[in-house]
Amino acid sequence: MLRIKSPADGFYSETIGSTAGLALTLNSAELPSPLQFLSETSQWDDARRIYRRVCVLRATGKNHEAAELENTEFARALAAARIASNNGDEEAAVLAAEAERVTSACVLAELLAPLLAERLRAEPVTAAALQSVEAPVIREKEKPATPASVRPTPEKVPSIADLIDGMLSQETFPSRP
Amino acid sequence: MIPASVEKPVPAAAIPTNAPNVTVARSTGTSAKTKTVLVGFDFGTNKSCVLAGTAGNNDIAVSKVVPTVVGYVKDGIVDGIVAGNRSILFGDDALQNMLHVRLVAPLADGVIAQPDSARDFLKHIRSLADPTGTAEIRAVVGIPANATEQAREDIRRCAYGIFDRILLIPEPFLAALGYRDDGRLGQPNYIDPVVNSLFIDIGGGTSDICLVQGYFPKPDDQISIAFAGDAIDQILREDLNRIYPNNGLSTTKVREIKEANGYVGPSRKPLDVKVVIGGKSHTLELGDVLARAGNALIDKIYPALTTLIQRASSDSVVTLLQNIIITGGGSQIKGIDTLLQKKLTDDGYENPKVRIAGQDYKRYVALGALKAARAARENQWQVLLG
Repeated sequence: MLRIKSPADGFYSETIGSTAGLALTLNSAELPSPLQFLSETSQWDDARRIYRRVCVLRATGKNHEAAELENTEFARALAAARIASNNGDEEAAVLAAEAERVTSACVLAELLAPLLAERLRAEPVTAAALQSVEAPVIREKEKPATPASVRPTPEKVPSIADLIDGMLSQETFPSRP
Repeated sequence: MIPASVEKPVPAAAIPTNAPNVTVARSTGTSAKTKTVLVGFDFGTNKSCVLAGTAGNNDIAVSKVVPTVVGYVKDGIVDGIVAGNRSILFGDDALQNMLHVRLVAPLADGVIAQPDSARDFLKHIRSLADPTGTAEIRAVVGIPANATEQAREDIRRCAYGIFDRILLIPEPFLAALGYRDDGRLGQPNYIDPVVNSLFIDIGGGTSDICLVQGYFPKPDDQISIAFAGDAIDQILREDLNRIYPNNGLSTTKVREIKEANGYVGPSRKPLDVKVVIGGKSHTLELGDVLARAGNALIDKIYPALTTLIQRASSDSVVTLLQNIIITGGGSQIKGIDTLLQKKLTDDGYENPKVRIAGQDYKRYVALGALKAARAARENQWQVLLG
């Protein structure tokens, strides 16, 4: 939310939003006009967002799609942003920042993926739980045609450790026949 | 040729008086040893399997199938005859030197029959899992379904001082855990055997049948029958001795004949088997003999199988019937899956499917045991206290 005040002395101040109860009051002498500010931010946000998609496509090996997006949508957004601010330094900073973000995300994913996979394997209950969250729609669509695809009665499989707990709770077994 | 004989006393053999009285305590913390090796151990009557790896990763550093036999070198054997002049041999080494050793089978009918030999064998297993001898060993050991408390206690007493922490878990349940394809969990068409299956684990000493339905099997979910590979060997031997007196075939040879030719179902005559008796080659017709021995197993297993099917809930039984899995050495008997499935179909069970676990049947119990070892919580381990 943006609210603009217009004092009689020609100065104005603005209160931007009220996120988390924090109102930020800025002196108009240090800022471009509010409309200009809005316009620039929006244009650079568009360019930033589209360039991020370009970087993601490149990171996932979709170079052709990346080039297409860069030459069309991104070129338009960048042109609009340049018109709005005409600031070469900002342009370079925005592009570098987005490239850096995507690179960092890729590294993080590379580290996390095997850890998550390992955890899911070690904790089958997690996998089962995830499936049970995602499954309803899929199950409805893939209505079992044969008894083999019917989900068994126990909907949720305990972890191996829980199964061991179950064993330990059984105090004694009867003698073998 | 000296017939190879393996001492197999009755399972009720007493633990020696000098064996420690073992107290079990729940684990509360880590020991002073810096390295921990997790062991999945299938202590089988005829064959054992050990899988081991260090804690903290999923690597399997040791994977061995070892015949469950200990060979004590006989007195008077000349130096150099036995490699390394060892006094005790294990597994294949013992069998290969059967002329020079007294072979002892530590287990009979799935439980410890020779405690001293069992301890020696467990020490050997420990040395395989941890050659340095310095690591803390945490072992999950497979036991027959419905093993008595005495049978469990015997294992604990034999393992005292060899394994630091232990968990005893029924073998068919471990087989289900081992058979589970963790990479396919969550896939729409994959039925997790731990969720709903019926495992038939046919070993040397016992045939264990177990309902596995997403919780730890209760006593009523498991049936253990003291009739398995060894009992088939016994029937074969008796028939062979009756039909071909003084054949001189060793226990090992009879087992080899069964493993190569064993089958169930209608007699497949003629079934000629070549053997060497008294140094001469003979051809024995064993069609009927092998059928009688194999079908005796079916006669024991089938009533137990149907008993457990009837105990399954009506909600789960249809899927259960699709997921009957045979593992253990007995799964290699030709036609066993087909015959059990046919009998179930003929008796009116709804579209049953009986499958063989696969060529890795020797490792499923140990693999399940190692998975359990990796997943066990600290306070679930039992510490063996003298």
